[in-house]
Amino acid sequence: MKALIEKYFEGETSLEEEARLRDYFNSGEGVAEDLREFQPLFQHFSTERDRGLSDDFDEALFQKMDLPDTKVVRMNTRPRHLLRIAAVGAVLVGAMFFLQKNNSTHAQQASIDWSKYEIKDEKIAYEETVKALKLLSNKLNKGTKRAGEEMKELEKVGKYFN
Amino acid sequence: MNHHEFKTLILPFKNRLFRFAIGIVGQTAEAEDVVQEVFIKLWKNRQQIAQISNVEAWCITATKNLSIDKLRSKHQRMVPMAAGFDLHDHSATPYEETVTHDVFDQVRNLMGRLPEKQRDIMQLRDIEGLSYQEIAETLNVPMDQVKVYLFRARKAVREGMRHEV
Repeated sequence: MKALIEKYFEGETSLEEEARLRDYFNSGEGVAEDLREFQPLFQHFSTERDRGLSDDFDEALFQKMDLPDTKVVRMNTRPRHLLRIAAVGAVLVGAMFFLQKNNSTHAQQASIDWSKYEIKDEKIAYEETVKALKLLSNKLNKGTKRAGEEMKELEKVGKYFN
Repeated sequence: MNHHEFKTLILPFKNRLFRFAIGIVGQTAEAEDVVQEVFIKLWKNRQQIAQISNVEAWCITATKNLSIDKLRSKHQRMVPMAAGFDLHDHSATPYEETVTHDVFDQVRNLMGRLPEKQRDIMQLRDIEGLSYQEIAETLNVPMDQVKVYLFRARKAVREGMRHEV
């Protein structure tokens, strides 16, 4: 047996001889005193050979095997760009619609003969002009305020796209 | 391939893969996760199984790679890994555990500390009982090199045992 062990450490043993060594060292009492030092090694091989997965491994595996791939869907660059393009498009369409509407009002107004309503008195004309400018200024301020509110709303919506 | 074919053709490798993973990751729970991941990966690509010439070798390579990834992801280094081994044999009786635990740990640690190729070859030969030819094919190493690595591995373990006893 000692010669077989030396052969083993030289890397010259066959699989059958290695099995004989394992059997010898696992027999327990029959191991010669001078060979006891090798017993843990061959006992370790035998113990490891018996090591296996837990009984519920197969069941857990088959349950997981047929689960669909759970990939985290993240908004990558392409959809984000598309959303930006779509947002710009929506703004342009909105702006065109607004301008068209304004233009058509202008066209209607152009057909009115304003000369009939023209003020002849300079003082009244001045007062009317001041009144008109005040109204314009008022409307413009209202517009700025509204635009500010709209911007806040847009920022809120924008958060969802970032 | 269906479940039944998978069960008869692939599943029989499971314990060998498990033991191989333990040799690298050290922890039984993690080794079990590795084997499960390897099988799921193979199942998801079952259309390509026919193109794999040696499915067992493929599984062993996948197990090895995934085990190394697991180790790396835990920022564990390969060398001191043996110290963290949790390979208590729960099936043994308390008496057997007391007697064998220390010496088995010693052998495991010695094997765990071997260079990668030596450890893999010693594992496949002495624990899995593979022939030199099978080891060469599985690890893609020339057969004469397998013998050299095995000789060095056994020699290192023998010397390690002498020092530590």
